[in-house]
Amino acid sequence: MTRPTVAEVACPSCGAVALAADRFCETCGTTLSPTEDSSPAPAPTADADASAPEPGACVKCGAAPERIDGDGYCQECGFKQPSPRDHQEIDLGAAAGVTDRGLHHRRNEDAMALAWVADPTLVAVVCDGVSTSIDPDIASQAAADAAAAVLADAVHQRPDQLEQATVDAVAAAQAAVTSLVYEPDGLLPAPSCTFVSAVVHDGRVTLGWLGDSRAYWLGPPRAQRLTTDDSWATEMVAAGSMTEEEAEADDRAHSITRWIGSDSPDGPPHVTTFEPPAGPGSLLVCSDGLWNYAPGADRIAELAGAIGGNDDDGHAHGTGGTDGTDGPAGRGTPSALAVARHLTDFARDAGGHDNITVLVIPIDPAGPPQETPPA
Amino acid sequence: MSTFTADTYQNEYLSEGATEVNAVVTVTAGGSGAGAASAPTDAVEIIVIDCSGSMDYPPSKIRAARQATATAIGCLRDGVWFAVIAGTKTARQVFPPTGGLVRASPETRAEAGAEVARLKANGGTAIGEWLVLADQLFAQQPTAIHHAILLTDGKDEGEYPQYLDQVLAACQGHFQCDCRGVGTDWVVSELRKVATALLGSVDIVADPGELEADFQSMIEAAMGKGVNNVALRVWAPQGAEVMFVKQVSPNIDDLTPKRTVVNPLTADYPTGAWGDESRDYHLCIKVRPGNVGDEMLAGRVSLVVDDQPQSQALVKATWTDDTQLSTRINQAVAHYTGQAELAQNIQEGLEARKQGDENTATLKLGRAVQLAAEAGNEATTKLLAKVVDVEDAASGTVRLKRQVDDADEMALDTRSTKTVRLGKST
Repeated sequence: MTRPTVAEVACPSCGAVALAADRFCETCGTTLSPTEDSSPAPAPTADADASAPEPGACVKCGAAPERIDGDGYCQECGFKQPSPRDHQEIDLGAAAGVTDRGLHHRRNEDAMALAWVADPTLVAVVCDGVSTSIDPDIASQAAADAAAAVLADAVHQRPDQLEQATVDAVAAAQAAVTSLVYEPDGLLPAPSCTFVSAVVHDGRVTLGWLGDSRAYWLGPPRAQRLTTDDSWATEMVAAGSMTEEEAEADDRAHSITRWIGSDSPDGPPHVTTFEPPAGPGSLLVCSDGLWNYAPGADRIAELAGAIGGNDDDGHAHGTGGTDGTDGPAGRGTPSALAVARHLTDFARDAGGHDNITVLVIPIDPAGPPQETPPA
Repeated sequence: MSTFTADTYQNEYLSEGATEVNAVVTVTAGGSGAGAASAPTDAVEIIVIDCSGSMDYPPSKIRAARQATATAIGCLRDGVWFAVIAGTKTARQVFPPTGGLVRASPETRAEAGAEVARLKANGGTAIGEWLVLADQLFAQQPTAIHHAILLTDGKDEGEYPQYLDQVLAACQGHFQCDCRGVGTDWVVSELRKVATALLGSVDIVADPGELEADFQSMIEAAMGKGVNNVALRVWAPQGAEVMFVKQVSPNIDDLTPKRTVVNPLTADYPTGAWGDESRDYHLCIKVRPGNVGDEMLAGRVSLVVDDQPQSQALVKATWTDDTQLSTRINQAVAHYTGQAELAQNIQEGLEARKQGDENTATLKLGRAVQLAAEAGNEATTKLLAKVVDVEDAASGTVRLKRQVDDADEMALDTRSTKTVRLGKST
């Protein structure tokens, strides 16, 4: 296999080059993304080390790591250990992502990539595995990794061709998913997933997508959705066959019409470039696990804005509090991670019927486009 | 060497707060046939024939028993150790006349046939004594597969009632025993007790003429067993309780009381010797409730041969607030739950009929007719129709027959635990 699977990132602390999959910077030891936050991990506190359970111990009964069998079940209490993918966070300081299994799906089939490529350029990808296909969790991760690698390269080599790079990134994701080896199932189609990517470079956002994962602009002059779904409802409305209300009421409304996978319909991906208007705001990239509960841009902006500087509202994953709460803009501004967590918790509290992925990328066209957090 | 496969059929989704997990585990053994090219496993076969005086009334019984035993001996594979015991108020070894066991060969089979032809009916019935002698003989070949056939026509007498229970407890795990009652003077519950304790079958042979074919098929099945001492090893998590482990196909046999503890979370349930065959087990495990979204391993079922785990099946529990998932009925679990209820209704209905409680008998046997019809259990439906007049099978409306042949009633009783399999669809 020659397919690149990891993107290079810069350590937010010392700037050294690291791989997206690295958990620690090899130069300075700073914790890198993604951080694994296995529910219900205790809140980090000063004496966290003293009370922390043994790493790998059963999260339910605390049985020793060697009591966890190869299938992930505790041989004492039977509890299925959370997969690292059940809840993951990427915290780059000024941008952050959270992906979460939700409450109903037994595994997280969403995948995300979020990486600094070069200051001040950032690459974000969200893929949502199609639940009714084979190995959707593997497909989404392969697609996100492959696309992020292509976009990261493009930023260095052809920063003036980011729309073409996005088309190439989708092609790389398609190639990665198509080449997956899987056990055929008579009933289920080949591995497939949705796709949405964003490259934030030089104050502009280059977007690409297939399916119903979305990007939103949350900021002045108004919150707006930046993508159009490839869904049955959207196509019905576009063709003039139905009103939006009629289409949304149909059982087929959210069936996607475009996706990544060996059986995907031909045709180029949607690609567009968005220039944020004057004034600071945030780019939001998410899967339908979030927007199903808040389809309108205004509602999402309202939710994102409702969070205070101190994230002590006890969100589902209990990691709130002392780290990454305050944004780089100063005290009182919620951090990107706090907003991403808040929106994720909103979707869980609203029912959590699907996997949830939320990437939050603050952009201030007036000021420096992004800041790396203080060392 | 044999290979086992185990598959689980269940609805793993539980509603919030639910704690009872049900699953059917199908175990299939392949490549164990002793008739295959591989070297046959050492085996001991002992045939125990009731030679009490009643076997002469009518004399067709003892004649049929002689003929059936001779045929069974003729079916023994060369090299199999065997012996024949004549049972009266004591146990007398008929063959080999010198005592002990002898390997089957053309010569020994002919000699044994000649001895069996001289069997006479004269004496009492002391089943416990017969089993004690058989147990002693089996012990001479401790590593071989041990199988016995026991034929009787009467009630265990001349022994104090607890003696048979003590003997069964002592013999348990030493050998398997298929029991046959000829005529209608034997007691179904008594022979069922022997068969259940010794992991064997029980059936009525009402017509002595059918004995020969029955013995032949039992010996052929016994000769097909290639792997011995197979147990179901069931692990359940801390705080869980294994409510029952039942074999449900080919017949119902509650293994729960036979469990032996391996460690605090694990117990073995004996299943005896296996040939190339498939059996179904119904497990019910009560677990501690989890949160919605939690997944738990509620049980791990492995096949253990001589203490070596062979293959395993997982029984899972996943809690959900999606009622579409949690209310799904697993067809296999529902089917065998119905079959167990069918057997229970037949046994209780027949008991009520014996006690003269016609209302209960009508109710229970009516329910049995309904369940047998639902499951497509034609054999049981036919047997029921000899005991009750069926007005409407779908609603379970029946009338008790005034005149019922004893043999028909006993056949219904003994065969009530025989199940049918669910049509292949999962």
